[in-house]
Amino acid sequence: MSRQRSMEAIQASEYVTIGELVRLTGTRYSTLKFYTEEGFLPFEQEEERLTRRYPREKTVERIAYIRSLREQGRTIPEIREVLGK
Amino acid sequence: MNDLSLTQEYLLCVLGNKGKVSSFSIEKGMCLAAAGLLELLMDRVVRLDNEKLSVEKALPEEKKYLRSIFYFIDQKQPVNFKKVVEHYTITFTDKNINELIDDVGSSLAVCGCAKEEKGGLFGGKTHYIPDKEAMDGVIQNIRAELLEDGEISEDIVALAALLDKSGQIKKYFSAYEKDDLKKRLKEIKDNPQNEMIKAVSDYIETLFVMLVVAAT
Repeated sequence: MSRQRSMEAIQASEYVTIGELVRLTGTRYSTLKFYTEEGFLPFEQEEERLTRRYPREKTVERIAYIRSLREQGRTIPEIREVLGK
Repeated sequence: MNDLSLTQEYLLCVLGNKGKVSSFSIEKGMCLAAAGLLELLMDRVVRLDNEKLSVEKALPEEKKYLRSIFYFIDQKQPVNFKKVVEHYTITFTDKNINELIDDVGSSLAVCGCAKEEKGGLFGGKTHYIPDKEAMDGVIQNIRAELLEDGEISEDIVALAALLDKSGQIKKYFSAYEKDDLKKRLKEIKDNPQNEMIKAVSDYIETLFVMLVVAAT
């Protein structure tokens, strides 16, 4: 078991966990979980039941993009189409 | 989002809309003192040997909100765990626990996670109104770690256990999530690979028993 990483360490890391994405982007856990299940946020997972690891830069950008689409009034099915999912 | 410590996150979650910890809620005060002690132990600022606490190194500047606990241990070391607890719970006034609340509350105000407001009968008290977004961030972080598969940090296990002990889990988690959360905590504790988590969890359990004993 390890200690929680500082924001500085998270911001310098190539891969982050969903909890760290919550801290980085201020997005609710349930929202990130939904986006993950919809395939909007690609991740790596060595084995089932192990921690999902998200590429930090790409994922933060993707979350910001989805947020901007939501602000434009796009629905989830429309976002799914835009992202080609 | 700010880097908040275990004690800061715990206080943020128990302050409530009025920004104060009720003096009738002994558990919240006990758990705040426990959070402070755990933070000092996890950061190896103090150490515990056979229920006796002693100072391991100087209190880091960024942890000055824990100075009252640190100085008490420093002056009385080696000091029995119960003595530290009694210092915050069994006194004729709320002076000691209020000092800790003020120190941690002010640190939250400095980083923008709470707003200071004058309150009390003659406006002589300071209340710390929690920032809703910061508080939600803490809860979302617990959800993200405890309701997901994979690694979990000591800090989150400690925070969830303290919120559970002070009866706050039901305030933030639905019955469905609460069951999942408790099941997950148990799975984590029962996995032999997670010896450290079990140690932290057992430690909180022991601490709480000691706190209850000290307060009665």
